[in-house]
Amino acid sequence: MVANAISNVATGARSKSIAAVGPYLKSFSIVIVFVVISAFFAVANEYFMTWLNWVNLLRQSSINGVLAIGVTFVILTKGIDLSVGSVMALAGMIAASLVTSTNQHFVLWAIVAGLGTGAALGLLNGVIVTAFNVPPFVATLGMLSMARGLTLIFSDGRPVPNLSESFRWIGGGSVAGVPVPVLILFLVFAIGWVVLSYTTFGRYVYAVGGNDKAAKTSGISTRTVIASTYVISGLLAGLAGLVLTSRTTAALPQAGIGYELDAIAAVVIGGTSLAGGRGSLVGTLFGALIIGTINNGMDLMGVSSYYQQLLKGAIIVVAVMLDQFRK
Amino acid sequence: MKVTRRSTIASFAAAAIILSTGTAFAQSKTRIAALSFGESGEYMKAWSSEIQNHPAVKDGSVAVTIFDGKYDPLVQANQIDTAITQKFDAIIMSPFDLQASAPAIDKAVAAGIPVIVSALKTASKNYTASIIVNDTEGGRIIGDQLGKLLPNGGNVVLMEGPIGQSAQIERKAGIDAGLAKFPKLKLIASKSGNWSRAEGQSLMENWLLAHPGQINAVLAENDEMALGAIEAMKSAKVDFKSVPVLAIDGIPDGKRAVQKGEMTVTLYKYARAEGQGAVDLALHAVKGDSYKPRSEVWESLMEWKGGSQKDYVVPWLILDASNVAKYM
Repeated sequence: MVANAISNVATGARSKSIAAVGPYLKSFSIVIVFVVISAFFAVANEYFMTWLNWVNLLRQSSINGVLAIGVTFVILTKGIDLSVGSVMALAGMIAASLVTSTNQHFVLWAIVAGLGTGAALGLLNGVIVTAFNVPPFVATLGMLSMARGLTLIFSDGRPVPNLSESFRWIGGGSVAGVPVPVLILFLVFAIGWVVLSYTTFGRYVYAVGGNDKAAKTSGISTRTVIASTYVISGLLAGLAGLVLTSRTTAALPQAGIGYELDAIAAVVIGGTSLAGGRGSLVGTLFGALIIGTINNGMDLMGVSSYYQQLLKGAIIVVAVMLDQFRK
Repeated sequence: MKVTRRSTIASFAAAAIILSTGTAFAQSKTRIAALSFGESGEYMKAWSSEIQNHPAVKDGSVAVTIFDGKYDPLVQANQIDTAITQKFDAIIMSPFDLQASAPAIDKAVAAGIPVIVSALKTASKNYTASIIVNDTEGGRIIGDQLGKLLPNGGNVVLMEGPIGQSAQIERKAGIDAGLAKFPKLKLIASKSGNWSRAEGQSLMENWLLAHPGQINAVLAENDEMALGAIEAMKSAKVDFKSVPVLAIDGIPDGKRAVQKGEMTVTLYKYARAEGQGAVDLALHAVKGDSYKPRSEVWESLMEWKGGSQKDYVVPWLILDASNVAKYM
């Protein structure tokens, strides 16, 4: 019965778009945008197309990519998560405190603590949104401030430096020439893609976002599904916090300020609808790569950062305009 | 449709080629990457314009690319990676964070690119040279100046930078040392205003309510916060002549406030010294000991000493109503 209802919901969504190939076309168009932008920078700068630069570019996009993948889950259910930047700072700070020269534990415990912190704050977000009916924007805006406050309290406003060699490998190491953060991004993408495309939970996420009343009537526990997406977003924010802290080799109380906006931008550029129910992780991945490419390419060309911000904003708006046009 | 798309791409490509010829032309020059920690701040903006006004940059023998670190150590680390990939001849860096900048600087030096640290410190030991004001000394000077202004003592409030940043730690240590010599001065409140004018303003509003008529002087670790305090004092109708405001940095707005008599003293952090001085040190690192510095700061303010020293200390200029006009 549940499966039936889902296929009904899905058919409903499908009839809105032109055909079942709609989503594929959409992910395809974002790839074209990415290729065009890359081609432009390739012609404009001789260093852009070097292997070393692509390694840089992927590494530079990895943290935003991981955050954006988590946020995609939330946005697919019509929610929003503004807290990821602060959550990553707290998770990174707590993890770092376990691998300093004066308080050195096995690196695995630091990783567990970081991921656990992220997931716990995500769960709290989820509970506030689903059990207390607080709008996601407000709940996660509150968490943005609370998690930042906790980070400052926990650290007393001071950075935590001198992290162990093994912890620093997470952000600074590489396997066969590929930086670890890039491997983490691809791994998270692969798992997220499988979950969204091939599992019952994944279909529930689309169903809840597409039409939560229909999903509820058909027996889906919409609250559990929605709360779970915040846990995923928090968990991945924790993971991104580990990578960031490890890359900067010190946990900083001001880390990650404003990162939620880049993550949301990547999701939106990637074609996921803020109205929920529509979107894909392929889009989000390329959305994050496009933002990374613009930053990297314009830095290479020596374009003033003032213009970079202008262009980034314009691309976000144009992406959504194209999306509306296609509908 | 296809034609339009193709022509769009073609025009993109054409634009790109025009831009790339610019880059190719730059190849024979010495290429320097200048990493500002944040171009939306007034001091850093002055710092990067001074770099672009260095005589060697103006006459075209040196090409400088300014990178905006956006107050984020990760962005700066990424830009160091980019500068290494781009094979710049030298890097000038103003590190946003003491600790987090160290691995990035080590990486650039390991890749054979000299790194000149300017304006803020790094925990790295491997940088090529540094040119920075002495923040502890700056703090000591304003503490000392205040002691002279209020020989009979009084209640002082202090606005601090972001706790943990090298400039905050050192300026605070200097202020403590400066005030220690004047036991009649009493610090009645201190809090971080995060270098921000808006935060400084609300801090001061709260303090004026909490200590009505009892504040005799304001110390701020930068001009922005002091300017916020001045706004709050204006609304509360506090007399600037009876309550001196002392701050550090000498940004244009700060100097204007000194000229108007609203701020009593500011220490001028000479962006030209930290910016252009760093360019000369970078060129010395690239060209060797035969290089002669071209910025005027080496004549007016500092000693070149062959360019081979590791750490250059930029002196503070004490600005008050008597001399501020010279530096406007």
